[in-house]
Amino acid sequence: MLASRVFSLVGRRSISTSLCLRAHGHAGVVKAEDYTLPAYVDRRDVPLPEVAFVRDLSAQQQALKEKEKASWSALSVDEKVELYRMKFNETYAEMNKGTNEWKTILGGVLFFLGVTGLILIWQKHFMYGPIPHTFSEEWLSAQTKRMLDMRVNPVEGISAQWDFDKNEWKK
Amino acid sequence: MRRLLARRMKFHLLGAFLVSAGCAVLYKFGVAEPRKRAYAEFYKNYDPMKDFQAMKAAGVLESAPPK
Repeated sequence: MLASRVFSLVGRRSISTSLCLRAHGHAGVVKAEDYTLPAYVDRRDVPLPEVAFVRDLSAQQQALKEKEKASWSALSVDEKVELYRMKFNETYAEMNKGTNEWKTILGGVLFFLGVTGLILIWQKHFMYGPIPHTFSEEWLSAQTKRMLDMRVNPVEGISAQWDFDKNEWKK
Repeated sequence: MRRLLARRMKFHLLGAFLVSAGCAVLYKFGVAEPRKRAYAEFYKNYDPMKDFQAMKAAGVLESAPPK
């Protein structure tokens, strides 16, 4: 039994090896898509992104990279700035800088609120029918009188605003 | 970048505590206390029978019609 188990292990390994040979032998390596590779990102909490900002260096930039391998005190200030810009897109100051986007957003919001208001005006004028008769002046005053007679909300509400002795609203 | 989370957390924890405590204090002295006072005032000299007679006279009580 032990011998057969060893044989199955060997058999599986040989099969997988031959499969690998077949996969790599013909088409070669498939070109990796951009989105699958490590990406550069300007984020406050990522101080050193996975790749440098500039991917394809020009001849001049490559020469500068070679110079970087020597002593750094030999580099001028401009060269150091150039090396920085090759590695990073924005400085922390540029990254954290605010924009004026809020003005656009606020303007857009107010504009569409205005459009909504116009739609509501149109609806009230052209679409809706008359309001119920219970909103007429006579009905409302009779309704309020009945509420006061019943002493609705006498502590903090409507009956607290009415002076029952003088029969008028409290000043 | 140094102590970024700690700084932000300290600021926001303190702010959250102050804002919620402030809201509680404002509610207590803006809403709760005036309401308690209003109820105390109302019931200090409240006569329920007089109120009942007034409502009866106004005719809003179905089982106690005005004479």
